[in-house]
Amino acid sequence: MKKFLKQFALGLLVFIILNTIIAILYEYPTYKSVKNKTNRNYLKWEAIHNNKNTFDLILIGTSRCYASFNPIIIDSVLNTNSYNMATSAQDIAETYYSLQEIFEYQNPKYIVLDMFFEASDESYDYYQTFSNSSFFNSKKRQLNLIYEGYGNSGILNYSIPVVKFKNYIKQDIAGILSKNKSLRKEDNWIKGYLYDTTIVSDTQISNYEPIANFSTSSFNRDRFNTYFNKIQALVSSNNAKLICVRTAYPPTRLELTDPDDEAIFFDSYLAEQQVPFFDLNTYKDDQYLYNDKDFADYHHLNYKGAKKASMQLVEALKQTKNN
Amino acid sequence: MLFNSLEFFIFLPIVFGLYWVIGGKRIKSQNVLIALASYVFYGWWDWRFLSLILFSTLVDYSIGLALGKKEKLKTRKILLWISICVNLGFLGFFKYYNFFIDSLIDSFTFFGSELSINTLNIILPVGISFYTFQTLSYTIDVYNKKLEPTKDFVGFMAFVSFFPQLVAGPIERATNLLPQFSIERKFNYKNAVDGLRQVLWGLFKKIVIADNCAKYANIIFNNHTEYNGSTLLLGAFFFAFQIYGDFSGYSDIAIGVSRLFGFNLKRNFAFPYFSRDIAEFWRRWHISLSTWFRDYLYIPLGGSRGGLKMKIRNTFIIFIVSGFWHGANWTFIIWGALNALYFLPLLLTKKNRINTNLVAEGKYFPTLKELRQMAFTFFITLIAWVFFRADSVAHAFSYLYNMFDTSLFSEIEVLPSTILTLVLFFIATEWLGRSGQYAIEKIDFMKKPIRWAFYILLIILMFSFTGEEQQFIYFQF
Repeated sequence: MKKFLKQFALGLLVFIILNTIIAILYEYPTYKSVKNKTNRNYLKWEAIHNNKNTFDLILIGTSRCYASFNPIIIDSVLNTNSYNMATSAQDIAETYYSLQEIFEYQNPKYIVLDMFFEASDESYDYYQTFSNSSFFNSKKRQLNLIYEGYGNSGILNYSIPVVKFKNYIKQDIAGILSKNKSLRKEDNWIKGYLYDTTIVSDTQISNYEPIANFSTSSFNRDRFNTYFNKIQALVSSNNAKLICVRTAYPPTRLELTDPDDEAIFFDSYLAEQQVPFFDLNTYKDDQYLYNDKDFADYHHLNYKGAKKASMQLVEALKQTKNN
Repeated sequence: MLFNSLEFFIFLPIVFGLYWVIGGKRIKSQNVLIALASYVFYGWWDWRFLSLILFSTLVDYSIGLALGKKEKLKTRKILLWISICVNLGFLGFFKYYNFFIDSLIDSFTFFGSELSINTLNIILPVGISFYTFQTLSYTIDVYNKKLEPTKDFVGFMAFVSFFPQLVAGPIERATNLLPQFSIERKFNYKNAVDGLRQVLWGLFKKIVIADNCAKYANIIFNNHTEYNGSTLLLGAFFFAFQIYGDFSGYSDIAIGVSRLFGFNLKRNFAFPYFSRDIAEFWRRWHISLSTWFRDYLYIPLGGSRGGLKMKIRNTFIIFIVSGFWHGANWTFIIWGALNALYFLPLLLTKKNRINTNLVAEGKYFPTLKELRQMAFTFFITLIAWVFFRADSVAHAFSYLYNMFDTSLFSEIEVLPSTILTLVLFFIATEWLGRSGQYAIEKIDFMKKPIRWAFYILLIILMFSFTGEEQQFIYFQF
């Protein structure tokens, strides 16, 4: 038994060392970028924390949101001071806790929330979530996000690097096996918005697949409902107006999609909740017609598409204000 | 409580620690702990069904004792039938009531009449198909005087509810497992290390292979009309590895965990996808169930003795009952019947026992003939798996119809190369380790650093490729 326990302890030690190596490999670039003040999430939260009660319009959601809405364009028309707080793979629970943190430092009149099935599905990018929340000033809020948002799975993923970074390890393993290595152009960020000059290739367009629907996604309605209600209550209690948008998809993907469950669901759900909802795939499409080349990939707008989306949002905000 | 859950990773070390602190000489105390831990394990899923397993335990324990005292054949037969009726009665009610009602309604509708009977909202108790067969094996063996009835209620309770194999097998025979609860269990280092290694391999099969193959099998099966023939074939391939990884993975974990406690369970899978014919496949797939049916149904029915009609009848009965055991759906019955059709020619031509040795024994590569045989056997089981996986008979036929059209030779539309690479790695490891009880049993020959590097690789792959968590398939049986 002693020999067995010794071997087991040795195994645990190896596991700890392995996790330490993985943590260093994957956390070090973040640590370095924070130190050099180039980390995007760090800069976003710096803007929120250090410019108290400055921003009157906050955009929030996933990377689809930070690729779509340019605060400079919005502010130049509406005379607002907006900031794009969307982050990569932002889950709806993360949105809720992020808004709690935001409301402690800001007093926005409008919250624009991007609606996306994957923001409420069963797969989480824990690394992105915990990395984003690591910049909250409130540690209590950070822990609430981990435990209340994700339960035991959250604790496991937060504490064990090999679990936390599994998506990245998987990508790196797949990258070794893949011949294609894509190089993104250098990023350019403006008030939290990604100014992306990448234009999707014809090969990528030909490989487009339909937009996820109920049968191909793991959209969790209960989770969405729980956190959306919390977000609504939070926004309302802070005397702000919640506006929901569904950002654009490439037209080719829309043509492949039937039925468009995402559009139908959010449209009827938000009508029931009496929350203004604008599907930018169809809103004023006579003026703002997208084409596939407005996109950087299969669902992120590039700078050309973002110009249209930002102007669409301006129209939507004006319409909401008039109503 | 799932094996691949945080709760189990906390539960197991606690039970393991307490078990060996109690010590091997205090057999009764260890059995009490096993029984308690098993009830906690089972109750974690739904505590209400603990009463069912306790009742089943009480009935069969009492009947066993009564069989030990009664010599009159008629009385013994009555006692045996009580046990059979109670056990199969529970199984029949929880698993098949709604199926029979729906089938009755459908047949009345077919003939133009209406029948109004309500189905019930019945929850299927996890593991009921397994533990009822396990306790039945006890009463049948006591009846046949192959086993003395036990007077140790706690030991018997621990045998029925033994947590590693309670919910998804292997279905243990009382003659093998029950005596192990009456003897001193000594901690054996080699056994424990080997057990842990088997648990690791079982987790790899479940988490990396089964759960990832499940994702693509589900996408393809649920949208089969949108895909071409070659993709549908790939979907069936993914399901074949989903069910193998899931079920054999669970068995490996069950056997490995049992060894940590000093128990030896019977092997349940012996690399079935390397079978050269369907008879060999059925000697290697879900061994505990197929031998149970052989010993308690096939042989009492006459087996392969008797004339041609009897052989055909018995073969069909066994395979159809086996299919029906898996679930209350006509798809499982057709799956069983299809396997019977595969098996019969071999039985009738007396070729069902020609491949009893290990394929390509002592060699790295199979011969072309063996490769052809394995490919053919795998292909026909794949066809049968379509029925097993399909939601309905119509779904299965539609799937096969779409699979076997000209698009079978066109480009595959869904090709997850990383998952396919992992499956190939898995097949290669299983092939290299096919002479062992499980694929990495004989890894001892490797030097310690290389062995540990392999374990670390498996662990990294498990954490990195955690698929969307899928229920163990056999939990629904």
